[in-house]
Amino acid sequence: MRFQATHKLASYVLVAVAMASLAAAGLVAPLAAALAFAGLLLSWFAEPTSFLGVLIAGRGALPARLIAVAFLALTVWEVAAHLPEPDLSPIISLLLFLVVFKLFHRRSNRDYLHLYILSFLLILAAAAFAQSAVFLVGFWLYVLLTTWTLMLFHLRREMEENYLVKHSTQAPSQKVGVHRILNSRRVVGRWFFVLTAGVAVVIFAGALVTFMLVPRVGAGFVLGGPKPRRFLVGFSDEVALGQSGFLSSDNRAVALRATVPRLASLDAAARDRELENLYWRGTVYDTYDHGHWARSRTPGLATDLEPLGRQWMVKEPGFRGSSPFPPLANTIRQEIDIVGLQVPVAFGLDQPIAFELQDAQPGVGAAAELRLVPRWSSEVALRLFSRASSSVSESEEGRTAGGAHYVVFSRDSLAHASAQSGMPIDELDPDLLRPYLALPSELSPRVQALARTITAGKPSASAKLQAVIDWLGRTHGYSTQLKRHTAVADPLEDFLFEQKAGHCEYFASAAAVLLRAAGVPTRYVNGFLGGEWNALGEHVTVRQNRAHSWAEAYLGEFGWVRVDATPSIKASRSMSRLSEMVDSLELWWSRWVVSYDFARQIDLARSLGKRLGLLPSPGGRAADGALSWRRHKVGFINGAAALVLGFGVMQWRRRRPRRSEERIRRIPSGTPVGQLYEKALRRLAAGGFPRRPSETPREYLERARTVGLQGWEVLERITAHYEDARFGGALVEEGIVRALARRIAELVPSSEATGITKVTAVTGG
Amino acid sequence: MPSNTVPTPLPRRSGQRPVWYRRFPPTREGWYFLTATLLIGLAALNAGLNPLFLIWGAMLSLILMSGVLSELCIRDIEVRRHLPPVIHAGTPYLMGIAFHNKKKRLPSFSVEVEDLLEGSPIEKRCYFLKVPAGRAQETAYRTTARRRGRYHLSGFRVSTRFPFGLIQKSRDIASPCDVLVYPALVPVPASLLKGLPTPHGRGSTHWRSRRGDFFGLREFRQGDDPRDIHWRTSARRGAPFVREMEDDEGKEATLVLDNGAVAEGPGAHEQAFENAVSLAASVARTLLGRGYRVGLVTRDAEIRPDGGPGQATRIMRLLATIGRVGADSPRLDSATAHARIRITPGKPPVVERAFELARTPA
Repeated sequence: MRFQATHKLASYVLVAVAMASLAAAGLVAPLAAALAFAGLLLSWFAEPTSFLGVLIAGRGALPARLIAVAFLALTVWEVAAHLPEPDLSPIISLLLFLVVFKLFHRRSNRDYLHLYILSFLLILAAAAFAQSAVFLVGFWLYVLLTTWTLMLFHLRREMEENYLVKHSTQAPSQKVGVHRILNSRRVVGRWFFVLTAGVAVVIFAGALVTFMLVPRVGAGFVLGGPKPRRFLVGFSDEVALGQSGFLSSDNRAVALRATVPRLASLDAAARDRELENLYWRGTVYDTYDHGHWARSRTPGLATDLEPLGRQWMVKEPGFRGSSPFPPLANTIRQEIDIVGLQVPVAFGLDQPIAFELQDAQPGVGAAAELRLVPRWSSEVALRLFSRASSSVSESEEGRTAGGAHYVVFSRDSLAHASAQSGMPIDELDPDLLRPYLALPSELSPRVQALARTITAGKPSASAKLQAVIDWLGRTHGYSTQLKRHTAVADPLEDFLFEQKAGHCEYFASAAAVLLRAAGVPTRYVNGFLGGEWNALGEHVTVRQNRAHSWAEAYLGEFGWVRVDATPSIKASRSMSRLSEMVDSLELWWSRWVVSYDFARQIDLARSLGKRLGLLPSPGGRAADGALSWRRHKVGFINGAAALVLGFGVMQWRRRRPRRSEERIRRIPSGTPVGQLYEKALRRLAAGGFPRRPSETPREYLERARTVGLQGWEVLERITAHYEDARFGGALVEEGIVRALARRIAELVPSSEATGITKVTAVTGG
Repeated sequence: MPSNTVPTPLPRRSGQRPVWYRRFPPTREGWYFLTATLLIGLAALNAGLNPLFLIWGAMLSLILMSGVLSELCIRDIEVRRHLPPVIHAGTPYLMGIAFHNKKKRLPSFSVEVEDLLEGSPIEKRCYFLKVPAGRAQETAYRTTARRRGRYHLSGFRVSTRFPFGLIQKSRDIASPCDVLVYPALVPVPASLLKGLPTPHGRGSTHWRSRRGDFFGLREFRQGDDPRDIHWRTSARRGAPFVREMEDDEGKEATLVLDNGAVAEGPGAHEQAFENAVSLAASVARTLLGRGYRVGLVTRDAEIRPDGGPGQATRIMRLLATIGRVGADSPRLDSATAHARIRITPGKPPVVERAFELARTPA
């Protein structure tokens, strides 16, 4: 490919990659991205001599500049309007506009340089807000293309400034046209790009090494946060039946990922069964009123977070009393990565009893801190606070932070139902129970009658609970196609008596309300159900379409128990291989890049040291790691010796003269004519006329003739015979050699050779 | 220092830098890049944004690779000088530079070569865009020596901004070479050549070539009688040689250059001396070009009259380095019976013995 075209193509692809990375980071509206790419493609044809280029430079020059100024003014105004918390989106749009503007106005090397700088700013913006592993791909491509492009740009500039200068002694040097060399195919070829791709690999590796090793000790400002992701309604302070999130197979965005070690140890069949019973508990509501669930914010229902080492234990003091916490070793540990939710909720498997936060969180600057905030009904929220704030309560300054990473310890509310998880109902404070038993005053009497009918003859709360579940399962069906009988005001009543079909929210609400009518304290819970097992990353991926609602009923000593009255629905539990790879990559990106922190660096160094046997085990004795001295003593010695030997050989090969040079420079002094030639050289060198190292014998002879060396004819004969012997393999007669040896005295060195006579006395006058 | 000129000789530097010594100052773009790297590093450390560490690491690695690749370009190379046969002060000349890439596999890209005069670059660069492995390329630079004399070219400075134009790495390669700059050539006044026979055409002869005793053999010059060719010597030497007769010296001239210092101090006299030297060189060159045997006599040296390119070289070499001697140095006069021109600095040249008229053919 011709050099100039290659340089242009590389520059364009570089800019395209930067734009794509920016778009992948979600910083650009789809329309703006499409326009930018269209401009990129169109500008390819806007060469200075083309019709489009002439048009732009001519009539289009003034309008283009006016548009640019207007865009700049608009950007300044938009940024100023959002102060003191500036929005970076207008600045990014301005950058895109400038890139396209510059692409249409490529005239000189300086314009290309400006393009590269702008593309770098784009990639910088993408890096600042990248939340997906797609950035890593874009970054690698950018490194590769930058390596190529900068090299080509450098060569092009050097060509235009230095190359093809016509020299002449009669006239000053002139630069000739560079178009020929710019259109040459011989400047760079396939191997150039292959080898420079290797350079790019090294640069990329260096970037990774820097990333791994530089300690994270930031203590400064926080940039503007990323744009809020899709906000799934259903996890807010109030939920409305029929308007909130529901099971939708269309919404496959990942909500969270969870690493559950217990699942990894199960076989596939057992794991599939477990997946069906993964209830990711989120928000909890205690007040129902005419199709709405809300929180009463009763002080007694507030969650209590008690610190215990690095963990925060979740307590409902009014319901647990003084019962001790179960040991965490007996709980289900999960490592949660919130991905696609900008919600203040700390999700965890039902029922979470402890939380543990990392020191650094993705998307959180060093000046901010993610904290656990207790809410109600054992619900825990995540809030972002500035480090200067001393209050842990919900602050107006606090912002939610999507992408949080934390650890949860949960107990299975059903599996541990026999444990002493709660206090008997009659021992509870009636004020605490009142919200969980409250029914709206407008609730239809037939709902209460229905509850009595269903639970008739069931003395215990658990029996009532089972009766309600059975009845709902028997009489109602699952459907996401919601219909409403407008004459019935309460959607729940409509569901129970008219529609007899609905989704999980209706089933959960119906169970909660019916049980309350039967005297069983209940509450309403929103969360997620199940997930997809990623065999590659050994984690569970929970998508938005797994949002689910259920109820919790208080069964005295058994505490709060999960009540899921929704008929079971089959959902995909596995992913394709490609999906697993992409999903694992995203999880790896989230944990090892975005949330890589100093603590993880220390852990990494420790684990590496233990693996290599460089660190002692807890018992004090150095472990026999992979590279322990004891195990590989001989190998170490051999390896060190091989290294030293190899280095020595390398140095010897570098320093010794090359064979060809040696052959050329070595005079066959073993032969008489060789010795004769050496003798002649020594005589002349002693006289101040040495042969230069870079001179051939013939060049030396010519130089001697030029300076008028006396006895030149003798040197000429000696040189001729010497060359015949050395290069022609001829045998020179000894007689000739002796005769020439006698004439060596005719070789007059130095001042005599120049013919200049030094005069010290007057000779005549 | 004006361009295209070579400065006056400087004293030689004592001591040389080690072989591994390199210079690598950043270019203007390099300074911008370094500043950007610093700022991004600070931003990454300050904000704790992990992807910025990737960007920062890539920038640092790019700087490192720039140093490595530029080093590869200027390693395992050989540079040679191809001097012009004659260099006169004030006359532009082309200095040939040959660049040989001795690497087995890797090419050298974007290399600049500068000559070093007494260790300092003369600011005339030769550029090599791409020299494949094992290949050599030649180019030249045009320059003008301002003054006559001996110049010591100590070596070359080889530099490159490859691959990214951020750093200009350079190294010095020792390649000592003494260059002798002959005096400037000036127009010879017609009065000095009065009586000088006109140049002969090919094949014509106007002087006796067979008269006199055998003197020796010399190279054939244009105008010589082909019958005087000494064939045996010519066959052996591969070039025509003629017998030189003693009385064949009608075309002989001696230049007398008085290089005694004037009693008064230097200044204007310095320029007058240089003018005299230039005139002597120009006259000698003119006469030699017309087939004369020319000799040169100064207060401290003498060159016997002779002809041919070798004689021109001898005379030019003497005039290139001649200096003023003491005012009390004895004057040297040639006892020649042939034409003699005396050149005294500050005074008009004098034809002490005129040229003979052209002789009639034998």
